[in-house]
Amino acid sequence: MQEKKSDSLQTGVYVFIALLVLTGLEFWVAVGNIAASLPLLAVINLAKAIVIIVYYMHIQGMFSADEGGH
Amino acid sequence: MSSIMTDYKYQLVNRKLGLWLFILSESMIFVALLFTRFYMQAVNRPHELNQILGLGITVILLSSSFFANRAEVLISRGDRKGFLRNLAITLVLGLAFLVVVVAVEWPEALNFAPPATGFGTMFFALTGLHAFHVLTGLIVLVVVFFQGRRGNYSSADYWGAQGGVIYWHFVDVVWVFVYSTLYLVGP
Repeated sequence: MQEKKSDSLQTGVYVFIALLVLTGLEFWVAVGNIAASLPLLAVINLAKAIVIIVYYMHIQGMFSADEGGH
Repeated sequence: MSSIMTDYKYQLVNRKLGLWLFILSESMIFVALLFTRFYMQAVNRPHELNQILGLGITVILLSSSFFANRAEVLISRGDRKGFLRNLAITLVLGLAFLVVVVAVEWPEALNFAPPATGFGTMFFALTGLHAFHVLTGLIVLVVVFFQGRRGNYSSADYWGAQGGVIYWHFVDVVWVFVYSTLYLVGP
């Protein structure tokens, strides 16, 4: 169990790095006059939102009593 | 004993579902405003908008989410000190975000996008509503912090802390779209 929670800390670091990379990428897409920047920004935004919702907000545990205690 | 446990688990699932339904209903307000921005202004954006400042506050908010996640993981393993330390960092970063938006970004934006203009209306509506959610999120996290200091959370029961942190992440998800829609979209 303890090992699993250490993994969670490490996952948090990977997620944070992924979010920073995606944020940098969308900034580059926006300021770099890239063709079709709007659909690209939409895809990057969705990717960022999914990463946060799955890894930080644990949407998959919505119906589970395993997280939050007991 | 077993019945108490089943009861607790039932309540926990209900509380989680309630929070997610609340988040879903809140999302609808932001979705409507985001679509209104494109309806009113298409993809036009004032060139004076400070994109670097937008990027800076985005990194601050993403960092606060990172520390909020650490706080949650640490309380789930019973590390109360680590939980409080990471939650305190989250609070400082969240407050920094709010101060920069209100005290730096808004006065600057008033010069080229006053609320009487189409973009100004959307800019202040979106950032204003989001800032209000940041404020409520900070209040929730302050309550969670003091509850944690009193020792009200443990590895066996930390839903109160987890619920507050999930709401904070929601504020972050909203900003992902608000930031891109206001600061990045446009020629």
